[in-house]
Amino acid sequence: MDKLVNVEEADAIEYIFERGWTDGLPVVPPTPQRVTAMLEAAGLKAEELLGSVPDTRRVVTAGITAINAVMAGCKPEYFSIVVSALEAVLDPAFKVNTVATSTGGAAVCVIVSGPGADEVKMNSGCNVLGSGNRANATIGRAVRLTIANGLGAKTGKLDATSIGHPGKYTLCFAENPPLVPWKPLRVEKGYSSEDTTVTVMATEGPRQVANLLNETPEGVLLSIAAAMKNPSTFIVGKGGQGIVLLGHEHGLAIHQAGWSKQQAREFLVEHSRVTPAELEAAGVRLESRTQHDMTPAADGKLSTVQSIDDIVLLTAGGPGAGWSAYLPAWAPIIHSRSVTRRVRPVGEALPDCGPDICEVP
Amino acid sequence: MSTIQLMNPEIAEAPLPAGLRMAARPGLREGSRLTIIDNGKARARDLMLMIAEELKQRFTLGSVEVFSKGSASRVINEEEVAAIAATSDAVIAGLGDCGACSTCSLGDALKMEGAGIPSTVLISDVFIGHIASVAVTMGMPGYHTAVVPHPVSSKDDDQLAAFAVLALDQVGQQLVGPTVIAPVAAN
Repeated sequence: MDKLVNVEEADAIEYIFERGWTDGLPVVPPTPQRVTAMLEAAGLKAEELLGSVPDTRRVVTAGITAINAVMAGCKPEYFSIVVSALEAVLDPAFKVNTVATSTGGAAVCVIVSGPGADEVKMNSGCNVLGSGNRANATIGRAVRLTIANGLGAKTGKLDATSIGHPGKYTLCFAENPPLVPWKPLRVEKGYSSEDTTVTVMATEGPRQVANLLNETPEGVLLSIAAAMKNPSTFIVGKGGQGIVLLGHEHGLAIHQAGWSKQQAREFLVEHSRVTPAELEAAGVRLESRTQHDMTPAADGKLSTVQSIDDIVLLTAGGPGAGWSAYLPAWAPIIHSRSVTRRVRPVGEALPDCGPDICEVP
Repeated sequence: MSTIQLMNPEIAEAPLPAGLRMAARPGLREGSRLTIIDNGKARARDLMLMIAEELKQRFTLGSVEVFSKGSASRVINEEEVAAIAATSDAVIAGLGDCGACSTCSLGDALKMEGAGIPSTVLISDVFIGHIASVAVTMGMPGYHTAVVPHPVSSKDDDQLAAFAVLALDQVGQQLVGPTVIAPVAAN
């Protein structure tokens, strides 16, 4: 159909429902004026490319992303973060076509780390994975709408999700700055403390982890590891990734005991390992001669996450009791990897690759 | 009443890549080489080998080879296409028993068709509609599929053997059949 369509203003939202452009909730009508404002706020032109998906022959532009960001309800000042999230999603390591077409029903979890999150008033505190914050809600929704509208990942088209979860509407939050000497996520990923980064991971729904009576780091982390090694989670024993969101009290318990984040991740890698007997007791059969190597290690155990680099560990959430959350990747690491991108400040030029690198003889 | 303009949020697909076509089908002659592109899904290799063994008898094939692509979530690359094409006269890709893996196995089969090798993709029945949709997107609407009941991964050898019988005629016809996907005739 045409790029522009004329409709009666009063009918616009119903028209968009009829076109199948929404996620089931009403959207803001994407008028050219609103889309232009979105692009201008990030200093981008509509035709600039963010990436492509060769499998489905789609090229994602800033313009299409801006249209979907308007529909999601984003303010223009959020758009730089949305763009960085899409660039991460379009990184080949993320395998967005796999994520978007799988029966597994992955959401794209978007984590923002850095001062840019505060500038757009993102929530990193109470109700961090819940509702109520416009930036959290609409940035995540813009990513999902762009994947659905832009890449054709809709029910009945390319999205073959069996069950899915509510994070497929939106799943986005900000990191709560950790207590010194713990480093924030962006610094652990190799960026500057002054930078703002976006990390994306294709995940199942969040599991809330309760432990209100144990203030030892081992006790808190064992509760999280128990959630991680639940045999009915797809990646268990196969080697995947995951996001561990440490709530206020749980983070304090580990921090005040003098543990580093690396120690905590090492503990989780080890204690989320499972034995074949634990899987079989839950009715889970071990895969044999398949794409997922489920051969136990010398000690007879299988890894849920193989490396500390496969755990995104960060602090977020509000104080009050003893809660954390765990979000497992929707599939083992051979199918998709988490990706982090720096949010480029408005007007920043691309890096200069030097005088001789780009020469064409 | 006032009129406003709305911008379309969808992305049009890029033009089809050059060379996307069905391979010619000269028939599976005696001594033909069949390659299975195994995506590593549970029991995929076992089922496809059962089908291949029956085909071997029926067409007096010379060999059956398995190419393991290691991950169900990717389509084979151009080097792999060339390597498989150099040693194959027909290809079965599979098993498409989930959304992403069926998409990628279809991509494998279409790439092999483009390289001139008669191919087909083995899927489980719940993905017929999904693959029909993906085939449109990939530029080969109506591409054939060989279909077995879902699920496959939990079946024992006897049940797999029954599935292989179900798929055998489909696979055989698709590898030797007409080169053009004929639309349903109106009458």
